[in-house]
Amino acid sequence: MFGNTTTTEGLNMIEAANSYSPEEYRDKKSGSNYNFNIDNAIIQILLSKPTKLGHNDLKIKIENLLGKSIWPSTYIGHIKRLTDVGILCKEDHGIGKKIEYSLTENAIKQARLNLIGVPKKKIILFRKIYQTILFNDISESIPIRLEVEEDFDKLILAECMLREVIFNGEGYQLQIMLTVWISHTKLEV
Amino acid sequence: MDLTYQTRSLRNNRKITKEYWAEREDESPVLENIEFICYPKGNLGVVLKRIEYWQFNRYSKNTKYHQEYLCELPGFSIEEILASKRFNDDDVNFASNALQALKLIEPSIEFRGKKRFIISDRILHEFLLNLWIIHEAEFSYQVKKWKYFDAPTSQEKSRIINLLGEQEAARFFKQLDRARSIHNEDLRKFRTTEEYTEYIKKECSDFWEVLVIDLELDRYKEVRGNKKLVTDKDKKDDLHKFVNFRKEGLYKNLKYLPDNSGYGSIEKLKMDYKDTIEKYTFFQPILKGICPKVFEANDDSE
Repeated sequence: MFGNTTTTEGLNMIEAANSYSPEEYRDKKSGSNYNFNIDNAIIQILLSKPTKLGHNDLKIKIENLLGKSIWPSTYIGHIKRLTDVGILCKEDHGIGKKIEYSLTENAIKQARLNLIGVPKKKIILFRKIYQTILFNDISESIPIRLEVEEDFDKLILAECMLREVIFNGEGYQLQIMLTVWISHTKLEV
Repeated sequence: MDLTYQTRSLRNNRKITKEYWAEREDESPVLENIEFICYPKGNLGVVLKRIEYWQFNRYSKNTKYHQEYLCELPGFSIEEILASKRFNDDDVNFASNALQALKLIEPSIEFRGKKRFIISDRILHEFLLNLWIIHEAEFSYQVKKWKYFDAPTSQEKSRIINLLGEQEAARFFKQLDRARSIHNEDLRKFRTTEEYTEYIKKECSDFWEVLVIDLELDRYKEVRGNKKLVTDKDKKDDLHKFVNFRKEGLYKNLKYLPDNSGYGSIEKLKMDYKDTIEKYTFFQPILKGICPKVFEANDDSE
């Protein structure tokens, strides 16, 4: 629409890289057999030190954590998917040499926020908490309402922070940019 | 404590009163609210307001019949989030600590012994504000859609469930289903578009909604032209065409989401906040729940 293909491509790439969503993936691609415990184990293992592990070392750690062995094809499937959706970063050191996996920067942040690497229920719960926190002052903040001037004075005096600000060397005056509104009409006074 | 205002009281300020009446042809008396807004120094985000409720008289003394004070605080406190009783203490504390560790939020002021946090990145805050405005616009269009025209899709349902929780969402949709069914039944009784518009106006919660319906009717009449509606059938057909006209307009609004945030289109918002969207990619699962359209791939067909 705006003829800026770079921006468009950039945003579409972000969209693709951020499409890791346990509930959507289960529904669309793998049916109900997809084992998210393996994904979660991979994420939790790589979140703690060492944050970079070779192909086999990572598999052993997952099996130890889950207390069971996993099929190589299952393991590769999970690794591939997590790499495709931008959770894992693959470092290939060349032919015959070690391949190492680590979490991407975004994945580390998401894991620290409990947005990945934990059971689905917990992910959804934390999404709700963050939505509530982030949009609280935008959507739900209710001002403190006082009808008596003395109560308002008391409120201001009780709050050291406000008192310092208000009395800031200017005597008994609210240090303000004062704007007077009469029913949405701004008066220049 | 005396509160000294830089502006003299309206009671004594002849200039303001004179200007006020010069701008208006209203008959006296007029009821007005005056807001004195005060931003304490230091850019703390605290807003203090004194709202005076006046009766202005053109020829006699003005009278103030009530006043109140408002104190708006920045950000949020953990106690406020916990007060909603939607989450347990441990989870909220974990979330708050995680956000602080990632420097997404920071302490701002302490008020009544409770620490308040704000979003550290003011551009992110601004972006969230715009997302919320779009979210509210979208939500109001969706409610109209569900109330008057169509049942929610499964995708729309799951989004509301995520926002409100299972129980609240079920109650909400039940009310809307009932409202839609009453609307459809009542629709059969009306003979003209005018009768119908009066009916839906009664459902409006404020003046602006009434105004929107009047504008819709005017626009429809413009599109329809001066066609004479003689028979009852003509009038009934016209009514159905008007209902469809409203529905099409609503679906168009839902697709393009015009809003009050100053953004003509979501694409413009995406462009303006491109860097912020990129910087907070890891946060998209949360923001998507509020405003999915901003995170959808661009529609190149537009």
